[in-house]
Amino acid sequence: MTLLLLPLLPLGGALVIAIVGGRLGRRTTGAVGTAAIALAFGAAISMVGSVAERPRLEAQLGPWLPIPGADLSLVLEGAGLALALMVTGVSALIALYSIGYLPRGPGAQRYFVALDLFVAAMLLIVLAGNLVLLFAGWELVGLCSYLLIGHDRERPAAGHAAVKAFVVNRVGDAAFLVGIFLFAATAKTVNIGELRTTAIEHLGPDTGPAFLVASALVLVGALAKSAQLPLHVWLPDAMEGPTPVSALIHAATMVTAGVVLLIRLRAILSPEVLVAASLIGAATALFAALVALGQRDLKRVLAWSTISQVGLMFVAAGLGAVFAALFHLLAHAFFKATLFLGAGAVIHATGGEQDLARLGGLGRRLRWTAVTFAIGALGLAALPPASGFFSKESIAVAAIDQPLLLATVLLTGALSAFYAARIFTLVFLAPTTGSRPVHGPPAVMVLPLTLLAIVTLGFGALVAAHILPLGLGRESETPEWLLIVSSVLGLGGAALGWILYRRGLPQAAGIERIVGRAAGGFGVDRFYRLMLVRPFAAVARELDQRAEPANERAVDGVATLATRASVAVRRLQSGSLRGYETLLLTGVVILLAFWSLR
Amino acid sequence: MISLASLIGASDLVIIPLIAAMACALLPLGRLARWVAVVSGVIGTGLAIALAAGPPPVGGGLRGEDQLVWAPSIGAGYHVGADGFGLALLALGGVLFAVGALASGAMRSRGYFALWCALQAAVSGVFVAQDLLLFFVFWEAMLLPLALLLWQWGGEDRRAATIRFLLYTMSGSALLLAGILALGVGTATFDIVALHGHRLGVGTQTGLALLFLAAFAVKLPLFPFHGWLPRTYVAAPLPVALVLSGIVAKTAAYGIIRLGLGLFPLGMELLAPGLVALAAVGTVYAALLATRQDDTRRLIAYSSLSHLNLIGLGIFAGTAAGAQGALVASVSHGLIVAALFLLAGMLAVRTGGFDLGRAGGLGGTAPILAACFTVAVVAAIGVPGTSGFAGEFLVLAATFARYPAAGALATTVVIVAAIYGLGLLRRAFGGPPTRIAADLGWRERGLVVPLLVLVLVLGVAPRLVSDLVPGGNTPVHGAGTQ
Repeated sequence: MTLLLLPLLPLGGALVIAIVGGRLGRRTTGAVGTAAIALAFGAAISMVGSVAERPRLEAQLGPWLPIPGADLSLVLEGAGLALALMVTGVSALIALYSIGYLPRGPGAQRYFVALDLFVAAMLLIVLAGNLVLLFAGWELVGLCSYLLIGHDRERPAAGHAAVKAFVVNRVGDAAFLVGIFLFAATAKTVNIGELRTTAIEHLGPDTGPAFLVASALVLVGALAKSAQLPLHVWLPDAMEGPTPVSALIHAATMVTAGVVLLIRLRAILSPEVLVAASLIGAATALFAALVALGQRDLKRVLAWSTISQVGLMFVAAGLGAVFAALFHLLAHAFFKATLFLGAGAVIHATGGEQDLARLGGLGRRLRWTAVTFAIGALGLAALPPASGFFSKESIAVAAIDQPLLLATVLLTGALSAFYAARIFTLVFLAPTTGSRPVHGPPAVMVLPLTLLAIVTLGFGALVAAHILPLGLGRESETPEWLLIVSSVLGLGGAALGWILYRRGLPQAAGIERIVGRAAGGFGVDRFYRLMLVRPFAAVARELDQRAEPANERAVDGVATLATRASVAVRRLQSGSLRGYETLLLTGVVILLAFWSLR
Repeated sequence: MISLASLIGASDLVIIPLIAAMACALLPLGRLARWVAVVSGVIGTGLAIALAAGPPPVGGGLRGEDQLVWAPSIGAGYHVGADGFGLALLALGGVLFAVGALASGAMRSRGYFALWCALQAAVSGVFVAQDLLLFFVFWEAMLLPLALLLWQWGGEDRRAATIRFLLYTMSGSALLLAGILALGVGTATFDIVALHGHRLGVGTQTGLALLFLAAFAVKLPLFPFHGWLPRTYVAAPLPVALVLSGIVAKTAAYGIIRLGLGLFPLGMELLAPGLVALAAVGTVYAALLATRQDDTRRLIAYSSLSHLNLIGLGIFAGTAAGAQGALVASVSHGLIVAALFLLAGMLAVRTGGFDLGRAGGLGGTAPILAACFTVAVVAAIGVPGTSGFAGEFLVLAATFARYPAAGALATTVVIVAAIYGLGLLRRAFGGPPTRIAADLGWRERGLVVPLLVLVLVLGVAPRLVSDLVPGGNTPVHGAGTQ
């Protein structure tokens, strides 16, 4: 069935590259990797018709774990197809882009194995028919993220960032696992459809305490994967990875997996937990937007903005506005991928420069990159006609009855517009600080950039105009006053950003002093190092240096005791270990012989 | 049609390695000795698979059953046969003994391979013995070749490690023997199958379970009876450490299931809370220690200890599902730890030792070694798609279903495991290149890659193993009292 092909095609691509990729060159490897993902995209397209006929498609590959419901089964329903199209489409473009971006030399094989495996795993999250298979995808995207962040093995910083990302994600995964165990123990199944029935039929709107705890644990998993407070610390460091990886995994797809989870499990999770999700999302959105203001590194601005934007999706998903959450998820995937690929083109063109203080004046020399980046920034700033405008409005509408949440969404929007303008101005418009050789991106990089920019421009309007359905029922329309307020805030923020930074970073010392205060992320990282990492290391050290030697001495004690006892009792040979062993064995044999002969 | 399974019996699983051992010891085989040992392992796996694939057993639930009257007056006899647990572990054992023999290139002496095959025979004997005295004979017979291999071919500090290992293990064995004699004399039979029908009082069951557990807890080893393990693994020749951890430890897991849960379900149930707590703590404790190790062998030793305690956890949970998970975890751990030990050896050849401080930067010059190591570590830390996840998930889910607190505590091991596993990869392969090292040759790949393929296959199709035994979350003691 076509549904099975969706994850199996990229998985097959990964296998082929893993087995024979060593003999292929960088371009061929990349072509195979890209083709496998593109084929999956084609498979997804071919399913558009059948989904229109039947809203729920299922496919079974076979049994997996001996646990009720834990089969290798896929289900396509609700937001599934829209998400699958986005994941495969954006991934194919970014894989194509990577062929041009990756440096020469070995490493392409590893890169494309991880990239294709990632796409397969991400599709599992979208399509898995049960929680365990979903968790498998969940962990595998984390693994691929780890492999790709640490792709450049020679840089220690990349290695540390990779491990940090995986370990923080594992904190969430551990909670998620316990949540799955609790669901399985309570409902006797891990099948998502059956869990939904159980949640609705037997427990009603006020689900039992077991479901409440399980939901909370699943939410912790979602927070870690989606880099929400307080588990966001891994994402900014993840920017050590190659830029196309940041575009795909740490912006468009994997970090939004938490939102996908909330959308898919909406009917199962407890209402209290969903409320908590929206509150945490709002707090994260504002917090991360503030931190993004002061970043000096181009990619780190984008990283913090991703945390902030995913926070907005959590607000919507937590409020039950799953259409708004999905809409913003897709729109964000397009404009953020555009921005990251644009940033990648800048970094590629300048030979690795991503410090905002040393970039500038690139608008003239990288015209096309500047145009696409501007479109992406328009999306981030949520200004029309970019798709971010429409999707952010739908989130604002969802929060319209909650003044505090609405205010947070609007304020986050204004801040986003400000820093979007800041980076665009600093990179492309501000006076250049020095002249350096700049080379434009090759065609394999320009094509994906252009396509993504076009989608960013058109997608939102098409959805808003009811031309593109997303598979979920949409919420109410935006009132006019809200449109005006948020547009004014967005325009104001963007204009301020341009005015303050148009002369370059050195001329913006005043505002930089203010926004710079937030740049450290409010010391969360330092707090964790002090309160978690160090105590952990100290405990492990104490165990290693005290508990283990004590335990070993106990073993020696038993050994000595046994020796003395045997000496005292038998006064035969002492210390000949072969003797003891033989003696014991012969004893048994003699005993047996005696009995059998009797 | 005569099926293959009807032609072979469980006895063959012991006799063939025994013949191989004698061939190695007595015939002037020279270099061929190693291949005799390899073939013996391969045949062991083949026989176990053939038995498992054969027609389902009638009656007693044992395959390849074979019985000889021996000492009817006391109810002892020669009775062998294998249940699902035994068969899965026998198949695993054959693979590991073959791989270990292949990796024993440096130890060319015939004596080494004679002892090697003898060890395989004894281990196989433990898995097929259906008489308690016979079980004990095989149980003790494992120690002799193991101790001699350690004593003769071990590394630094091998003599002290051997004595310590022997005396500590035998202290447990003495209690096991006391338990066996008490049980056999009391019930007038040593036959395990017959004893499964006996219903002893709770007090008796608990007392006997404690005596039996003394031996199994040391051999597994269960936290905190693991004091012998790190030093023994480091002192042992690499192939011996491989089988010691990969399959010899599983005899204890098997013993707890077949004898502990099988004969004393009520006693085990009474002890379960304490045992579950120990195993859960041990799982995390060992993982914590693994984060501190600079010697790859010690790191693998503690990682292994963590997994072995997880296996114990699944068994102590006292449900069929728990034991089923423990079986998957056992097979998985055997394959993974074998791959890890082999890879650690290959890394050591290239960096001049097992010290991680001297490794680093090998990713660029030895990409295939790095890739294999990555797969092995990823499996060890339980990432889905590998058998490591299947075993860990099944055990933790089964534990959580009965003991939520212990299950949740043990689940935190996934965090700690990520720290030691990825830390190992980073230290070995990350950083700027420090030396030119040759990548894995074809022989080395031939040794490791099949193991890793098996790990991935079992990750996708864990039912190949788990379907050999029953599942279900009903407590074993409940089923036993009916």
